[in-house]
Amino acid sequence: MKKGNLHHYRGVLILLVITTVFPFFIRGHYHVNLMVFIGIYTLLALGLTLLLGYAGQISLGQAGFYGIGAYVSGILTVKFGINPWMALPIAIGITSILAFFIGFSTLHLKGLYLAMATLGVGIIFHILFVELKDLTGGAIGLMDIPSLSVAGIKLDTDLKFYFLVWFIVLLIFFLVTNMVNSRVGRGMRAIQGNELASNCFGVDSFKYKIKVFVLSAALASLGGFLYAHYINFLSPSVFDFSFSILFLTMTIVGGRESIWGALYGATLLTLLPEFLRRYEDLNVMIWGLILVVVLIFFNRGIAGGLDISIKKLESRFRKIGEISSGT
Amino acid sequence: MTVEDVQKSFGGLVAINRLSFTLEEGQIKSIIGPNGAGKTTLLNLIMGVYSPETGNIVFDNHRIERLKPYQIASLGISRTFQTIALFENMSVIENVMVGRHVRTRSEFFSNSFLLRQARIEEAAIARIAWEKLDLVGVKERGLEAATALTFAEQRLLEIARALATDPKLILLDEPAAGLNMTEIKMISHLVRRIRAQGVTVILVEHQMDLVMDISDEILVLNYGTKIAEGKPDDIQNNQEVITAYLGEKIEIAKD
Amino acid sequence: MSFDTQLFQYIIAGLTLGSIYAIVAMGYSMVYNATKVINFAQGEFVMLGGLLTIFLYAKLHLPLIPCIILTTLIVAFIGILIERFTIAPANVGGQDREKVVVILIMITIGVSEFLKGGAMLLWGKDPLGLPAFSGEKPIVLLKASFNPQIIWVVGITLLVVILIRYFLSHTLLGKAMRGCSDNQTLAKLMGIDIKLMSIASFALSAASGSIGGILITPMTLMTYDGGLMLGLKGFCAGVIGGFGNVIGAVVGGFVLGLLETLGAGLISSSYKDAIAFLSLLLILRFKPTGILGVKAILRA
Repeated sequence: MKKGNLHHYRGVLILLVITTVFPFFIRGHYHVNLMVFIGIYTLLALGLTLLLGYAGQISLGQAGFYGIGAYVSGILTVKFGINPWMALPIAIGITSILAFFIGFSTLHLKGLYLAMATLGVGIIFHILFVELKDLTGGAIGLMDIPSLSVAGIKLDTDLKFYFLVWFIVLLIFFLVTNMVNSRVGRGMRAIQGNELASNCFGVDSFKYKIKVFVLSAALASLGGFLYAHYINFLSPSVFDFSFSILFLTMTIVGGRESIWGALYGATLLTLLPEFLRRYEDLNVMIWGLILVVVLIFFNRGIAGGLDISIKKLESRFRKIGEISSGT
Repeated sequence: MTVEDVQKSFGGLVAINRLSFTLEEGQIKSIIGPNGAGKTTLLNLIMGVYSPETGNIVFDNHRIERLKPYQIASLGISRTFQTIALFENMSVIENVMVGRHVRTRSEFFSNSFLLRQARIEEAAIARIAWEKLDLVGVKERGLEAATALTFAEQRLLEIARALATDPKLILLDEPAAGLNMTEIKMISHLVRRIRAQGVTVILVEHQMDLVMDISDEILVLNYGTKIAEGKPDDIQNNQEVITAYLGEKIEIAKD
Repeated sequence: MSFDTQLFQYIIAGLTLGSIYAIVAMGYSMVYNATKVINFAQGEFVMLGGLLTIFLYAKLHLPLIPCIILTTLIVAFIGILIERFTIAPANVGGQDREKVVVILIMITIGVSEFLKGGAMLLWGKDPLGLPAFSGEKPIVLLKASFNPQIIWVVGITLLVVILIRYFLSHTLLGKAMRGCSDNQTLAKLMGIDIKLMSIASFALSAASGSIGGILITPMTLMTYDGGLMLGLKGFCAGVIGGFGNVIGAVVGGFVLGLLETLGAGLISSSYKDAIAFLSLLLILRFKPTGILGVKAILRA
């Protein structure tokens, strides 16, 4: 009765094919650049998807952790000459410790305290990025952040970095897929299903929620690290509250019940401003409108919509099969 | 297990009033009483959902009254719920697999990286879960959504999930409620089989036939106070018990 | 200027700022009490109050007082529209209240962006102002000089607080609003119209928010995105005072206002904005229910 497990990975495999084939269709740096950002933003949204889907919590400070990851690595590499790959675990470590304290202090309370705390923390981080000028360069920015090198190859073009980003994204999706289909994933889904019952069967929901929150912050800081060494420059304006909202919007619009929702949301909301370039003034309004409309009418987001469409197709094929075989 | 002098109030209402009783290993002990007598509260106290204000509960030489549910689960107590508390977002077999959670250990890292220990554990979880499903008789529906099951099947699923923890003591909260005669007989057989495997059972029930039939001992609660405790025959003839139930539909099996 | 005078100036400034925070926090409380939703568009009501009044006054050349009244009514109406078109539709379906609330909060964030974007389109990005209500001549008190608008801000705020307090504790509608979010089923059984409560709370919080905006615009000017920070800090004030508690909101507002001006004046002005959020975090850590909050909300 055991199902083959490979079907769990079909999403990862499809994405692998798409990202490998994509570079052959591109026409210029600009599109590759967009794809890099979609990759980075997917990591950010994925953290929020896991948090919302498994702990039922929202974080209003994801941009703050994004920034911590970026600035810690940026500062360590620029001001202290540390190898970026050494700076990465430090950046993720610091972010995780911060997230742990925040989660530990708030997740045992019923309600939206985590959301409130992340709101405060995100904004405070942003203010620190602006004000700690000696360290971060302040509003002027942190410059000359070195590019990453892999096996001696310096990733100083869009295309080279593109491969790194999507390798990482694919790896993360692979790991997360494993997690979701395992004991830990079931434990977390059980918390969503019925928290009290899950406790009675050995699931320490407090511990799991903290872990998911730390994971979401860690993913954000990984995204920040990638951003810093891609753009080679950091300005605090990319890490403010409006970006926290942006990432949350990606999660919601993409579909919060599926990890792929993060990818869909990141893709849509990164490409949308490109299409709306002509209507730049309407940008903010349309943003809000999309968010509201999706939440009211398309509650399950793009992933949910795809899910429903696939199920409808499947049942139609089954019916055709039944008719043709005479059942 | 011993329950000593346990008291639990909610606001001004005393739900459990200085209750004491003991439980022998391998027993099937039923707890009965009119609605609102505190039966489910008692189960919640044992399971760690609530903590009593006074008194203590000792299980297997451990003081458990202040422990959290997941800790109590690891000591070997599991339960079903009066109103079905399945994980509606998961399939039948996954529900049972969650029951296995307390006996397994692999965490985020080993699960994500598919380490060997995790994979072995996962195979064991699946095997045991299917076993328990088979035991209660719902194996064919294993891959369906938990919400697709009939009411009776859902009750059986809850029991399978509780069994997956390899409990020493299982708390069954009105497993026969809402079932027809055939289904109740099925539950009765199942409870006996559970006890035959060495599991102690606390059964909270309203179905007197079932209670009288399989219990070794019966505890009667009214307004959170113990009004009688003893073998089924003694309880049947106990005047106070009968008075407590006056006005309610009584189904007492005749000899 | 002597230290005492400086201190006095900071305190007065703090009370002024605190008034606006108090109004915004009250708005959050009213909506939360009636619907359990945290309306992150609250700050935008303040912004709309200011910018709409400017529009009516400067473009349509209406006299000031009719502008104020008209604006307040329009913004209250916008509040009702928001409730009817975004909150009510999302509320349907017998879903677990807690899960729905997360969605509703996200919706209010979306609404806030929408309003902000709309304001930017209509009125541009530049700060705009209103004439001071009673002239520009500064008042001198204890050797410190003050903008006379301050009296309007604090005075009208206190008036609004008193009115709303009276409304909530002495009128039928108000009393119903206070109780209905705790147990919606019970409220319905007792004949309270949930829909009406929801609408009323949005309308009131929008109206009072817009009054706040109108009061401070003569002093600090208003921009299309001025509502964001005010809304967020007003939210902090609400949590500090005790979320869901209207008097707590007012206390939290004034406390935060004072903390902010004293902190900015005595410690550092570049970290001014951080004070509000730092206070938020401290309260969440040590007394999550706020200064006046009572119910501790621990998970089972």
